[in-house]
Amino acid sequence: MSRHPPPPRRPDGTRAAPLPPVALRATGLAKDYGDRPALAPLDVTVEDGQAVALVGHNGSGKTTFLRIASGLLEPTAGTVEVHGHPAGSLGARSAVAYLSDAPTFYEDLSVWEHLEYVARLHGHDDWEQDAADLLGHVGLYERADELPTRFSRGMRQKATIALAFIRPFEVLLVDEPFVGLDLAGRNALLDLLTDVHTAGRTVIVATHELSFVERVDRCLVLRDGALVHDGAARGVDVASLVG
Amino acid sequence: MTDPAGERAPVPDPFAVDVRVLRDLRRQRRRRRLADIEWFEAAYRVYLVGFLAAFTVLTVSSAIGDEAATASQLAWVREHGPAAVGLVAAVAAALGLRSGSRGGPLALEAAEVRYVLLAPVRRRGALLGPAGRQVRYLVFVGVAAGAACGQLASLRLPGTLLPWAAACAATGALVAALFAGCGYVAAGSRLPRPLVTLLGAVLVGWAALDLAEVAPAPTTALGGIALWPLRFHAVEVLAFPAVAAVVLAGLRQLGGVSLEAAERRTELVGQLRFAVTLQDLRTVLLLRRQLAQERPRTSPWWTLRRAGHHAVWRRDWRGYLRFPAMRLARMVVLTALAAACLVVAYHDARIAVVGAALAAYLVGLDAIEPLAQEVDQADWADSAPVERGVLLARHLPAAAVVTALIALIGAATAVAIERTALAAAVIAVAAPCAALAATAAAVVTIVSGMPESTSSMTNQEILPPEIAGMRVVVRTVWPLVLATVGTTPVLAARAAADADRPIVAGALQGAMATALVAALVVAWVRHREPAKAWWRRTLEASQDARKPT
Repeated sequence: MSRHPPPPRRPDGTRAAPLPPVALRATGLAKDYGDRPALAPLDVTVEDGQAVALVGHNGSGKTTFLRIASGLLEPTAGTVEVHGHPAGSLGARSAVAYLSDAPTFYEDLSVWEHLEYVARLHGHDDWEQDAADLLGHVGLYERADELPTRFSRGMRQKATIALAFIRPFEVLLVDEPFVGLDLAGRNALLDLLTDVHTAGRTVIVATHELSFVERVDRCLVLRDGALVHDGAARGVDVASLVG
Repeated sequence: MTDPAGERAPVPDPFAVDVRVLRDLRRQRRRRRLADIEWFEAAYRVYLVGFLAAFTVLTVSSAIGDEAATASQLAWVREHGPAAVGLVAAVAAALGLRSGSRGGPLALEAAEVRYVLLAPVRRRGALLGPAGRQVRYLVFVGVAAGAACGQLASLRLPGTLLPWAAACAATGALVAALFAGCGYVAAGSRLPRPLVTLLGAVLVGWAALDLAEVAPAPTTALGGIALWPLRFHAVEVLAFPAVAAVVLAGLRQLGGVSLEAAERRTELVGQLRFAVTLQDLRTVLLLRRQLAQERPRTSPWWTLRRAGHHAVWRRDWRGYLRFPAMRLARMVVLTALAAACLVVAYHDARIAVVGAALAAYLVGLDAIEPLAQEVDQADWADSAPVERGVLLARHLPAAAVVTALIALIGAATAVAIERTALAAAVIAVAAPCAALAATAAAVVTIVSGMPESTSSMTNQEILPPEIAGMRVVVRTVWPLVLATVGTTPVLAARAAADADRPIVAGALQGAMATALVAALVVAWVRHREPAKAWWRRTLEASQDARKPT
């Protein structure tokens, strides 16, 4: 079943030419933590298949934006829609994969059991080959039967990457993915992100890595919760915009 | 952002994964957990819990005694007992609502929030399992606690053990289920916190008014069930379907639980449990504040403008002036409660001094917050060119002023209850003593939890486990003993009244003990580190002397 709504009808009943489908639309999105504003009201539309970098200094609102889009946080004002579904609704949850910067695991499940759990919760029943491929890619295949809660920071990050990619998704939200990764892990993640983008899916990555920013189609710069730049990354002094 | 209405849609959703998949996965996980369980350790835990429960029941039982209630006491229980138990039920409902407004009472694993609640599985279906288990557990605890209360009631009230245990167990189960149901309703329907606070206050206030014979409250029907062996009103049976309806309503709303609140609760409750197992009261306090989102105000109630000397004094007042309204309100309510308990202890049950001491101690923990902040940042304190004891002692004057304010509130409450000149005189002695001892007890709790400075490391790391265990027990109980010492003016006044001696003079004699405690605590804070260093040197010297040359 298509997840994109059909194009709107003209007054004469014929359909308009298909609009570029929207992967993520934030309208008047704002978030306060008590008396501290984290996101100023912002409007952002990300088209299907785009690779977007979200940059900004610490506390600029990047993580807040991604967590609202994933459904983990609720906005103080405004809305976020993922492929036309309100963030956090069933439709949005089936479309979004969120790769957090804070790895979280069950204490009593191995990496392999985690992969089974997450894959099947997303209706992915033929998960085993995908899981083996993913673990091989991030270098965890040999440690699939170990408990990820006992891993080092980098290994935990790799396991989280595998868990984000094991499930089917249309939009991938990634928060500070390179923190704690060694060179091999970093390259593996870059390959996976490139594959996802090449397959036509949407990727939004919050990062401080300006070298990664040059690889993407579009760059959103947040400063103190406000959007100060929205456009191509090439030819723009992102570092000065970040401040 | 989540759509609770959409979650409950009766039509099949094309995006939803069948919740049976989740049940199947959870079943597998449970089997694995059972296979890994350490049965010996589990049996030891059951033994410990059983032992502690039996010990508690026996201790309370012996404190209450088994003399039959007098005719007047029996009449009071018949008339006011249902309302009194109803007040307990109202408090449980208010606590449930409060917990629900913070994402409780469920506390899921962090991974459960991240992987299950973010998966396209209907949230109500995903949460029904954990919620059902929680209701079962709470009802079990309610039944056990109720049955224990029934056993105690059967000792003093007419009737045999079985009916009392059954009636009180049923009441305990209802109170526990009411707590859970109210929590799920508040969490699932996302009632705003001010509304929840108001609802809770109305419930508790209404039940209190019933106890004061002003207006009948619905919770009294539930309370009446506990007294069925003494008096039976058929209409009270309705409490069972009423509580069941609240629980069912809560379970129906579960899909609307806020992930933001659930995730915050998940993180903090895990840390809170760990801190409790370590008897780390300061950490428990800090985490509880985070759970309640009780943050210091960004802008103080008013700003101290002029810079000047007395840096510690000024730092302390900057902290006090950022106290959130919720904390101030809690301090006032607890102080009033402590004062009311002291009045009860003077006229009726002496045991009420324990309640007074406990409430005052909790106020004291808030009253010494700037000192506690200093203790939290022990490295900063050690980097200052001031001896640690001197620095900590400099925090005490501001705490003393706050204690005096607390004493004033307590005295005002007591005077409002007891409106005689003699009572005012006794209160003028008793209130400062209770507040002072409670603050001193809080100081002992916080300062004794401070990490050892490198210059005064003692030999505690070589203490045998028996001594170390005893040390932990003493460290936990000792502050409560100190806080209870603050109630001696009230007990001394009562003893004087019973012996026809001057009452105020009796209270003043009791006040001497409190003054002594306060002075000793100040000296302990100031000279603790040098005393430890001296003790360490003495030990080393004696060990050196024993070594063969």
